[in-house]
Amino acid sequence: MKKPSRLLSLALASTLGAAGCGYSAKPMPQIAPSQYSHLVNSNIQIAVEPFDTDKECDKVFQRSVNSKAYLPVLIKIRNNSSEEIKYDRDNIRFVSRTGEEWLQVPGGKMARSYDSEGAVKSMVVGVALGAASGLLSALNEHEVSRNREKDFDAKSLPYQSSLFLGSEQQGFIYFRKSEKSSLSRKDFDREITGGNLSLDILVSPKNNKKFCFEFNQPSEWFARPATMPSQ
Amino acid sequence: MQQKTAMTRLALTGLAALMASSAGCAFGNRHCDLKYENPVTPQSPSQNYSLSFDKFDDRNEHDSKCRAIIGCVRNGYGFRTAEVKANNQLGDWFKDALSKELSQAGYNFSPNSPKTLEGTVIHLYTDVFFTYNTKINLRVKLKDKENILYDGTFEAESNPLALFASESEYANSSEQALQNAMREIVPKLTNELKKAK
Repeated sequence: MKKPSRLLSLALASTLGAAGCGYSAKPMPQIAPSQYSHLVNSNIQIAVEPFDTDKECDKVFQRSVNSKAYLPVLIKIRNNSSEEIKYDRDNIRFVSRTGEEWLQVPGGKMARSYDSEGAVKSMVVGVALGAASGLLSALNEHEVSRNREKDFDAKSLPYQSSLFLGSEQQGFIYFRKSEKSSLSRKDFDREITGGNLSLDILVSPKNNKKFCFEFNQPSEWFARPATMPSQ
Repeated sequence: MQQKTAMTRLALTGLAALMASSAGCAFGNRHCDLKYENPVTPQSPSQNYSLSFDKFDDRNEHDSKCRAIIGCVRNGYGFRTAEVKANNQLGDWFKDALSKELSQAGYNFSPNSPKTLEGTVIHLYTDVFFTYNTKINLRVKLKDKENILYDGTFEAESNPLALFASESEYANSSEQALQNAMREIVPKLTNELKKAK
């Protein structure tokens, strides 16, 4: 009588593990043209959307990544000019109100911040249903984790790109407060309120003509009115 | 019947001990000496062309002793139980690898050459669960004095089998990922260098 019940629970666990708990990626959010409020001139358009609330993060990342000290920022750059423009993620920076620069991290790193939840689940399954079920669950959780990493990496803004007439580039940059593995909502809001996101865009890269953008929190992130063409 | 049960228990204990010893201890940070001993570029005749190296750095997360965190160790349930850190600078490791690969391709190195190479290890990380999964992102710039001739990013992976979760295995997996990246970087750079001649 004992053996069939064990077999039954093993079968149940493996079915649950294999079928029920996969990772399904959420679609990439889109910024509507009407949200192109941050114009350098009518030809180069920059839109910035910080994912700084739990609701926004849940929709795309299925977790409140802000509580793990991450600030995903969706950036869209569109070039309607006849000149080539170039951006480089090295020149996109987020500095908090206190003057601390948050680091850019790969999507895979942000995805791994969820790993412990899967491991806890596997351990609970292992204790409740036996080691084999725990192992199956761990394998499944590992697969979920790998897919999540791929998804977050795929949603990243490419490191650099040249944009020609009519082309655009969109993606997330994941900023993280250095050496912090968690932040309360209150601390997170306090950190980013009054923060500053700056972007340098090279126009006609050979001439090294630069446009600088700055976005300030809170409420609507707005571009500083004057953009500064500089050498 | 009792003897059979005892034998089964003994076999299971032996199996568990074997698994434990072969899987390596999940605890205790690993400190790797990253190396690059096996260039993948075929040997070519000298190009009579010299290059110099500029800044090579990395963007990985570092610990309080400035050692780059390049991976993790996990236990059977998937909990991260330890970190893997590099004893050497990732920028130096990348520079050494690129120097070996380009030497194989026939290029010389002279500190006074106006053609300079800059490099960044944007990210290097090895995760593990039965197999290693190393991901590497690199950036290479080729400059002629202040003019940028080429600026590109590359990514590569490696997935060797994880046996002992030892430092040398992490180092090997990182080397394999870098070799895979070099298979793209070197042809791209040599092409750009030919254009710049």
